[in-house]
Amino acid sequence: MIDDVLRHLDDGYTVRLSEEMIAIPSVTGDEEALALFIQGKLESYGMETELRYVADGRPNVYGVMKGSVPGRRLNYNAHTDTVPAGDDWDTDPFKPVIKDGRLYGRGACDMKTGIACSLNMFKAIADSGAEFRGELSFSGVVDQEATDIGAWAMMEDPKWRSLDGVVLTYSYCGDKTKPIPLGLTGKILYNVKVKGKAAHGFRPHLGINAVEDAAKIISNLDKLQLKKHPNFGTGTVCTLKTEGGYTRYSVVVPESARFEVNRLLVPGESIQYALDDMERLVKELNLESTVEVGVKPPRYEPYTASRDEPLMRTLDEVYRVVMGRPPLYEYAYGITNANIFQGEWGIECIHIGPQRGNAHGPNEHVKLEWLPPVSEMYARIAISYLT
Amino acid sequence: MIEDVLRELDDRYAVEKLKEMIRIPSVVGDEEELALYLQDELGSLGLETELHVVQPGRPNIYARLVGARPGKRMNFNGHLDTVPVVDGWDTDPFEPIVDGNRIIGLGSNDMKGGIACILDTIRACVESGHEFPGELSFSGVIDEEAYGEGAKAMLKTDYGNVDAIVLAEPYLADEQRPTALGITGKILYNIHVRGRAAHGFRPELGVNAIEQASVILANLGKLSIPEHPRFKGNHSTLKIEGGYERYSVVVPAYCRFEVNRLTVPGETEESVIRDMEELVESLGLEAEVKVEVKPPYYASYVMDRDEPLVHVFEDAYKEVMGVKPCFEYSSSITDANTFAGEGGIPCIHLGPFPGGAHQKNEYTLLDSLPPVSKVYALMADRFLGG
Repeated sequence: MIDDVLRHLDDGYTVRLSEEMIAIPSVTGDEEALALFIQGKLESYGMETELRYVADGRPNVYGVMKGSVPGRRLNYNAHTDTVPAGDDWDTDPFKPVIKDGRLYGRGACDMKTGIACSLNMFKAIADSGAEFRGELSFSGVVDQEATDIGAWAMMEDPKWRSLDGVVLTYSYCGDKTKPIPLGLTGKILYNVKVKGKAAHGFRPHLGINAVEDAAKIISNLDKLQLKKHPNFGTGTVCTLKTEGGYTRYSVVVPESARFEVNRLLVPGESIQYALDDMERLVKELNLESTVEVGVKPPRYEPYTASRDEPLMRTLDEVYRVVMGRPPLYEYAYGITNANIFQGEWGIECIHIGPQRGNAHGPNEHVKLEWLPPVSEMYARIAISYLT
Repeated sequence: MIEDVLRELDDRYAVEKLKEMIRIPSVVGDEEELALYLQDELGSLGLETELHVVQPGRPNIYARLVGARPGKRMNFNGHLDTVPVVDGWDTDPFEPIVDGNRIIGLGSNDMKGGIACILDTIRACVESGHEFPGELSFSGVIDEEAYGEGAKAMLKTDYGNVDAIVLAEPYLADEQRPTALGITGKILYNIHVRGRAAHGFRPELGVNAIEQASVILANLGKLSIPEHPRFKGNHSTLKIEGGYERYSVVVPAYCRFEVNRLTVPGETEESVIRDMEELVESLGLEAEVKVEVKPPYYASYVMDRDEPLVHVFEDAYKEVMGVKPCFEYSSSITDANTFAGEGGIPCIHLGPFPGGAHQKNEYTLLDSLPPVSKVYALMADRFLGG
C-alpha cells in the first residue's frame, strides 16, 4: 500500500506549491492569505477544512482526513507565518527564485517547503485511495515567530488536545545542521520592573535611581543558578530590552526602569523555579529600589522525548529507509510549537523537514534535493503510524 | 545724583509691568511676544534696542543706555522663558492674581518679577537724568529653562564683553535663598554601546550591548570625582534604552544611556570625557563604547570673594536690607554658568521672593520687589562709578 502512495507523490507539485507560497507574503500578523491558499489545497484533496480566527485577520487553518476505522490521530503541524524580510537580500524575498538547485525566498525553509511536502503527502494519500486507521490531519497555525497565539489557541480545542501525535514540519533534518530533537529547552521572558524614587538629578543622594539599580541586577545575571541537565547541559540568559528615564529631557533621578531577560530552561527547571531564582538574586543584591519580577508571554515549559515512544520509533525507522542512515539526535536549544503540544499537553511530537539555509536571514533558501525525501518520509510516517 | 534715581523708583510701575508680562505667555520656545513687548517698553524709555534672533521665532532682546563718558559696562539680565504650565493650578497661570501681599502667575518670580525690577531701575535712571560713565544695559534671553541657548548666543555678541552681569533670578540672598559665589557645571554624557547581534538562545555567540552597558552603570561609583573645597561633584543616570522595537529574541547589538554629571571648577568637557573613557577602559568590555556629550553643557565657575562686583553687591545689599547678604556655592545651574563659566564675566543673582518656582500657583511677594529695585540702582551707580 505504501508503494501506491509513494507512486502518487509528485515532486514537481511540491516545488510549484513552494513557489506559490513564497509569493504569498505571510509575515507574522499577515497570515490570512496563506491560510486561505492552504485551505483551498486541502479542500481539493477532499479534506474537511476549517478556518479558525485567532485574532483579527489571523486564522489557523485545519484539514482532516478520516481513516476507514478508528485508530490513532496524527497531525502534521506547520506555522504559516514567517519573520519579516529584513535587508541585504540579493533577490526579492517574496519572489521565488530557483538557482543552482536552490529555491530562494522568505519562508523557503522556515517553513513553506515543509508545508508543501506535507501537502504533497496529503494529495498522494487522497489520490491513491490508501486506507488507514484513525485520522490524518493538518494544522497551519499563526504567530509562531512571535508569541504562538496560534498554537495556544489550537490547544484550547479538545479535538486537537486529544491528538496522539504531531509531526512538526520544521527544518530539523536529522543531520549535523539540525539533529532531530529529543526534547527542547523551555523559556521564560522575565519582565522586571524597578521602582526607585525621583529627585532632582543634581541631588542624586535624595533619590533612588531605578536605572542604576536595574543595571546592578543585569550586571549580576551571571549569578542566576542555572541547573545542569545530564543531556541538555545548562540553559542560557540574555537581556533583550531595557528602558528607563525621561521621555522629554529633564534632569530627574529616574524613578522607574524596566528590562526583559530571555532565559532558556532545561528540564528540571520550571517557570516557577526560574521566577524564584530571579527573586532570590534580586534579594541578595539588597537594592534600595522596589523590584517586581514578572513574566511576559511567551513562556514555554521544557520537555524531553523518549526514543521508545511510537512516533519517535517510526521516525527512526523511516529515516533509515529513506536516507540510508540513522538520523542524528540532540537535546535542542530551541523553542517550537512542540513546547506547547508536548511540553504543556503531553502529545508526542517529532520534528522533521528539509534542511534549512539562512533561516531568519537574507537569502533564505532550501536545497530542492531535500524535498523528495522529506515528502517520502512524511508519507511513510503517516502510513506506518496509522496502519 | 543716585538719590534722584532712588526717588524716581516706582513700585506701582514695577507691579504694573509684572502683571503685563504674566499676561504674555512665554513658555520656553515661545519667547518672541515677550521680547517684542520689552523692546517696545525699553525703546519708549529711550534706550537703543536690538532683537537678536537666536532660533526662528526665538529672539533675545538687548537694550542699552550709554553713559556720558567711557567706562565700565554693566548688564542686567533676565530670561524671557518660563517653564511649561504644570498640573494643578488653582487660577489661570497667565492671569496675574493679587492676593494681599502675593501676586500669583506663571513666571511671577521666575523671572518676570526680577525683569520688572530691572525695568523700574532703568526707567528711574532715565527719568532722573542721572549721569554715569560707561554703559548700563539690559538683556532678555531665551531658553534658560531648557538648553540655555539664549545666553550662549548672547556671549558671542558685543554684550558678551560686558564687565558684570546681574541676573534677576529669584534669589533674595537671605538664609532661605542664599546667592551664588559659584555654581557647579554640568555635562550630559551620551554613551553608545555597540555589541554584536546573535540569536537570543545563543547569547555566547553575540555581545549583549545592554548587559555591557549595565556593567558600566554598575561601576559608575568608580568614576573619578575630584575633590574641591567648595563643591561636590556627582552623577546621575537619566535614561537608558536598548533592545528590540518589535519583540524578537535577539542579542541586542546596541544600547544607549545618558548620565548627568555635575562638574566642579578645574574640570573641563575634555577631562570628564576622559574620566568616563578611562572607567570604560578599565572594565575590559567586549562591546565597543563611544563616550559623547549632549547639550546642554554648562561650565562651572567660582568667583573671587574680592571681586569688585561682589563688594559692590554686598554694600548695596546691606544698605537697603540692613543685613549682609548670604552667599553659597551652589549646584543650581543658571545662565551665569554661561556668562561666568564660559565668558569669565562676574555675575550676581538677585531677584524677588521665590514662591514655588516651577510649581503650580507660582507667586512672589509684592513687598519683595522695591528693595530689589533699590539694590539694582545702587549697584549700577557704584559699579559704573557715577
